[in-house]
Amino acid sequence: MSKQKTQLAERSPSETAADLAAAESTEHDAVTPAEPAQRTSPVRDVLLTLLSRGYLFIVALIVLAVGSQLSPFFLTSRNLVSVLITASVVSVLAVGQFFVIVTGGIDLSVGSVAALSSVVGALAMANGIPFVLASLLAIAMGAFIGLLNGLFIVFGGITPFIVTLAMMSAAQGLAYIVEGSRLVPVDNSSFLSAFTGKLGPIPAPVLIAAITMLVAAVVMAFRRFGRRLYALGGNPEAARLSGLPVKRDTAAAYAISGALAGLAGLMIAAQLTEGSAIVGSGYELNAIAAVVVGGASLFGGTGNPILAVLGGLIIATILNIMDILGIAAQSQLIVKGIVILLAVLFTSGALSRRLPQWFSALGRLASRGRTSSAAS
Amino acid sequence: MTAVLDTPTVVPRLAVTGVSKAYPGTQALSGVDLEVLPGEIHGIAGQNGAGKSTLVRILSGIEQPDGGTVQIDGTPVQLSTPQSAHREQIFTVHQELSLVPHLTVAENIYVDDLPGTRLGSVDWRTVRRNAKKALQELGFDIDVRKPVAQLPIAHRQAVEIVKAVGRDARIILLDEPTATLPRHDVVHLYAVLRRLQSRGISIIYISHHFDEMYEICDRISVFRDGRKVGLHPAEQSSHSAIIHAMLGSVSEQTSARLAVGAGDLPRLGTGEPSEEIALAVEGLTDGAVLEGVDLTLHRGEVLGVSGLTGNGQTELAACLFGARPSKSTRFVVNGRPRRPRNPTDAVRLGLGLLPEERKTQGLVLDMPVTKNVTMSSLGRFTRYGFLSGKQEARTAQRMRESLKIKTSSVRQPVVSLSGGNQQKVALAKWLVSGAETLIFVEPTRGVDVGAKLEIYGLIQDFVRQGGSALVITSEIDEALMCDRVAVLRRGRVHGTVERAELEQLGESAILQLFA
Repeated sequence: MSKQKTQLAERSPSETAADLAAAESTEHDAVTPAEPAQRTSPVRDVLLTLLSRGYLFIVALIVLAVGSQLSPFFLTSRNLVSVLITASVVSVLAVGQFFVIVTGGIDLSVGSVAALSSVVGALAMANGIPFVLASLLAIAMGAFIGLLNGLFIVFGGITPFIVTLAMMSAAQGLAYIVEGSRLVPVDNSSFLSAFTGKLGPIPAPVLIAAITMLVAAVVMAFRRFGRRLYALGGNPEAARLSGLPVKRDTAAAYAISGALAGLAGLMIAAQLTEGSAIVGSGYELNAIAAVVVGGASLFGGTGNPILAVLGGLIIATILNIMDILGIAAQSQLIVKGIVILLAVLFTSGALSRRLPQWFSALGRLASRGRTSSAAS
Repeated sequence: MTAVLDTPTVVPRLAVTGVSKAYPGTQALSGVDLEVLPGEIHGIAGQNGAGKSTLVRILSGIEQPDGGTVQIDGTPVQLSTPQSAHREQIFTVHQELSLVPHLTVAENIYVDDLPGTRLGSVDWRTVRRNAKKALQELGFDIDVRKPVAQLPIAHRQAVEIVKAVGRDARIILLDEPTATLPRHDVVHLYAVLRRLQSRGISIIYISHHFDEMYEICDRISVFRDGRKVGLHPAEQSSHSAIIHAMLGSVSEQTSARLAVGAGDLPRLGTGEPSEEIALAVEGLTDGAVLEGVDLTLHRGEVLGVSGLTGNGQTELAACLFGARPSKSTRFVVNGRPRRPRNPTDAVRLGLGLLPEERKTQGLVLDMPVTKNVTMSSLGRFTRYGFLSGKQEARTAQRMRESLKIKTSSVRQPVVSLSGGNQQKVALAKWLVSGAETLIFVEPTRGVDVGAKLEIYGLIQDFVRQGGSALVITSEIDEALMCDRVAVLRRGRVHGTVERAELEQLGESAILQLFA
C-alpha cells in the first residue's frame, strides 16, 4: 500500500492524466512481463475481434466450396461479381443497421426510406437537378428521417421498434405520394454510370459498399464516436454516468442508418433505372439478418461492420447457389430462415460461447505449434 | 472444535472434493474441499475474488465445475442445472432475490408446485392456507395475498426460505443474507436459521461480516484466491487466525488493526481543508425526496453523508452529478457557480461519480479494463481524430499498477474482476479524467476487508493530492473516518458533526441525529 501511495502522491489529481499522457510519450513501455507492449496494438485488437468470429470466414469458405461442387458455373468471376453486386445494396443497409443495433436498437424503416430516396432522387433528376445534388438531397433526406427516428426514441421515450415501425409506414406512404401515380424513370447517364458503372475492374456498387463498410469499420474501431456507441450499447446507464453524450450519439446512430438507407435507395434506383415506392420493402429485414448473422447481439454493444457485411454475403451466396441450381424462390425463403436461425444459435444463442472458444483453442494450438517449432 | 471434527461416524451432509473452476483469465476455484455436517451452520469467509460466489454457483447448479465431486449424504450427485440442484434438495437464497415481483407471496412459494382441484383449476385456498402456515412456522406473519414487490426485503427473504423449506431442503445456501437487512430483522433471521438447524437442515452461510458468523455459525471455512485455506471453529478466539487466512500476505499490523475494529479507524481526510469550495448547494430539491439540502464540501476535504437508508442519499448523489433534474438556490462546483445540466456537463466541471451499483451504473462490464478506464477522457487519447489504443493501454496499465487492480490483463473484460477491483477501475476512470471532486456512494459495499482498506487508502491519496471527496455511506465506521459528517433525514441535512465531536463522541455523535 505504501508503494502505491508514493506513486500516486507524485501527482495531483488534476494533473494525473496530463502527466500520464506526457510521461507516456517519453517513457519506455511500463508494462508487466505478462503483457508485452506490442500485444496491445489497436490493429491487433481489431484482428482479434475478427478472428474471434473466425468461423464466419470458415463458413463463407465452406459455402464457396459447396457451391463450386454443385455447379461449375458458380465459381466463375462473372457469377461471383453478380453476387457482390446483388449484395451491395443490402451491405450498405446492413452497415447502417449495424450502427443502430450496436446501441441496442433496431431500425425497421430503412427499406421504406430507401424507396423514398429512390423516388426523391429520380424526381429531382427528372426536374433537371444535377445528379450529385440530387443524390446528396436524397441522402440528406434519409439522414433527416433517421434523425427523426432518433429524436422520437431519445426524447419521446418510445422503443426503437415502435418508432421505426411507424416510420416504415409513414415513409412508404410519403414515397407513394411523392411518386404520384407513375414510376419515375431515371435516364441521367452520369448518375447511372456513377452507380452502376465500373471503376477499373470493380463494379461501382461493390466499390460503394466496400468503402461504406471500411469507413464504418474505422469509425467503430478508431473514432471516439464508435467507442461511445459500443459503450452505450454495452451499458447505457454506465455510459451516461461516465459523462458520455448518450442521447446525441443514439440519435446520430439513427441518422447514419437513415443516410445509408438514402444511399442504398440511389443504388436501387440506378440498378432499376427508376425510382419507385415499392422497391425497398423487405430490405430492412435482410439488413437485420445480415447484422445478426455477422455475430452482433441485438442487445447491443457487440459486433463489427465488416462482419455484418460478411453475414450478408454469406446469405447472398447461399441464395445464389440455390438460384443456379434452379431451386424455387419459395424454398429459398425457407433455407434463408434456417440460415438465420443457425447463425444466431451460434453467434448470440445458446451455442454462442462454444464456437469462439473452439476457435480460440484452435488458435492457441496453432500458435503453440508455431512457437515450439521456432524454438527447435 | 474437536468434538465436531473428530466424529467419523457421521456421514457429512455435503462433501465437496477437489472442485476446480476456471474462467478465461482466472482460476476461480482450485481443488476445493468442503464438508458440511447435518444440521450444521457452516460459514464461508473470504475476500472478493476468493471463490465464494463461484462455489455458490456450482452448488446451485448454475455453473459446472471443471473437476471434482460433490456428494450429498454419501451419494455422489450431478448438479448440472438449478433444477437438478433442487432435486437434490439444495436451495440457494441469492443476494439478489429471485422471486417474481408481481405474483403474490403464496403464488411465489408454490409457483412450480400448484395443487389442483378436481376440476383442473388451481386450488388457491389450499395454496394460501399452506403458505400462511409455512410462514408462521418460521415466525413470520405475512399477508400471503400481497404481491412480493410490496414486501420489505426481510419478508422477501423469508418467502425464499419458506420456498426452500417447503420442498424439503437438505441444504440451504445463503449468499450475503444480511447485506440489506436492518438489525432487528437480522436477529429474526438467526432465530429462523436456528429453527431450521434443529430440523437437521444444513446451512451454508456466506457473508463479509465476521461478527455475524461468530454469532450464528458452527464452523467457518476460509477461502483465498480460489483455495480453501482454513477451517476454524466459529469463535471470537479464532478471529485473527481467520483474518490472517483471508488476507494472506497483508502485514501483521493491518490485520491487527482490523481485529481491533472501530477503535482505530483510518482517517480519510488530511484534516487541512482549504477555504475554497469544491461543491456547495443550498436549497437543493428534486420534487420528490430532497426537500432543501444545504451542503458545503471544501477543497481537500472528505465530507461524509450519513443517515438511515432511504432518506435521500441516492437522489442527492444523482442531483449533484446532474443525473437527476433538481432545483437549488445556489450551486457551486469547483469554484464555479453552475449547476451541471447533465452528467456530461458535470464531468466537464471536474466532477466524478462512483455510483452505488457499480455493475449496472458504473462500468460497461463486457468491455475490457482499458476501455472502461479511458471512457470519460477519450479526447485525451485522440490524435488527429483517431483513438490511440497504445496510449490507452499504457494509461490503463499504469492505473492497474498504481491502484493495484488485480487482473490477468488490462484487456480482460471488467466482468471478470472482483467487486473491489471493479471499484478500482471505476476510480481509475475518474483519476484519468482529471476529476477534482469525487462523489462516492457506498464506496466499499460488497467489497471484502482487504479491498476496503485499499479503497480507503486510495481516497486518502486522492484527497492528499488536493482532491475533494463526498462520501455517501450507510456504514457508521466509514462516516467516522471523514473530516465532517452531514446526516440526512427526510431529504434534508438534519445536522453536521465536526471532526472534534466525531473524535470525542464516536458513533453516538452521528447516531443521535438519525432520528
